[in-house]
Amino acid sequence: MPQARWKVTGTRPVRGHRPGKEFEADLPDAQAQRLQASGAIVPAGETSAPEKTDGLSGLNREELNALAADHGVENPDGLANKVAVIEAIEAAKSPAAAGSNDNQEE
Amino acid sequence: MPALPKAPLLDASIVIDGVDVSNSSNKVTVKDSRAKHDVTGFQGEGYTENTPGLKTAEISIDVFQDYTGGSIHQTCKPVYDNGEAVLIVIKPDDEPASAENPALAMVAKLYEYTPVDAKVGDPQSMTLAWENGSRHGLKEFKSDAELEAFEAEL
Repeated sequence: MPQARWKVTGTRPVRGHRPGKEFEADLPDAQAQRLQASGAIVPAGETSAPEKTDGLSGLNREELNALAADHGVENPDGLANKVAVIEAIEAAKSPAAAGSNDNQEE
Repeated sequence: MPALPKAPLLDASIVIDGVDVSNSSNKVTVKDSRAKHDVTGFQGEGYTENTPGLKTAEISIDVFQDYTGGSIHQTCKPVYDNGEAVLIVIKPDDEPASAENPALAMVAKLYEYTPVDAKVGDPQSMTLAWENGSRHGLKEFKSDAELEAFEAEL
């Protein structure tokens, strides 16, 4: 099974790799889901929400929460991490845009 | 640095589900105990006679609470809520596992979680009491390769 590449995005090292670093590991599905949901890691180099939403990834969590609330996202404070908030904003703006690379933000 | 006899525990490595929480912890206890069954029979010499039964493994980790991404709360709360079993790995020193620095590992579950607990002005802290959650019990590995092979089997 090919190894997946991950980036540590939380405040704690993951599998010996410091925050901000990328690493390769063949994680069990359940563990990969838990670590992503907790904000510990994200897939490295993915075409995920931060890349689709240039400008949003530069906002801090407080600014993202405010923007999410403006777009009708319920309880943005309760989302696990910035990636989840950005994805919620994208979905609220245009649910059909979830699979596209169009950047509709200013 | 190799382990020294009678040395204080300064650089313990504490990993919960792959997340290193060593710097958020100030106490760790790995306990392995056995049930004791009285099998005293007649015509002995006045002593009770016991035989060991099943073992119980527990890992207690005192942590400072931390709500940031990928840290204590974000890691442990979902595990507790969902009743999931995750791998806990404790080493006396933050060095590769060896005979002098064994990796003690257990697939464990949480039966109690205290998300908020502190008096005014005090740092929040709690004890994460992990109990064995698989057929493997508490394992000891003397190399990182052995630990990784075990983890791959889970």
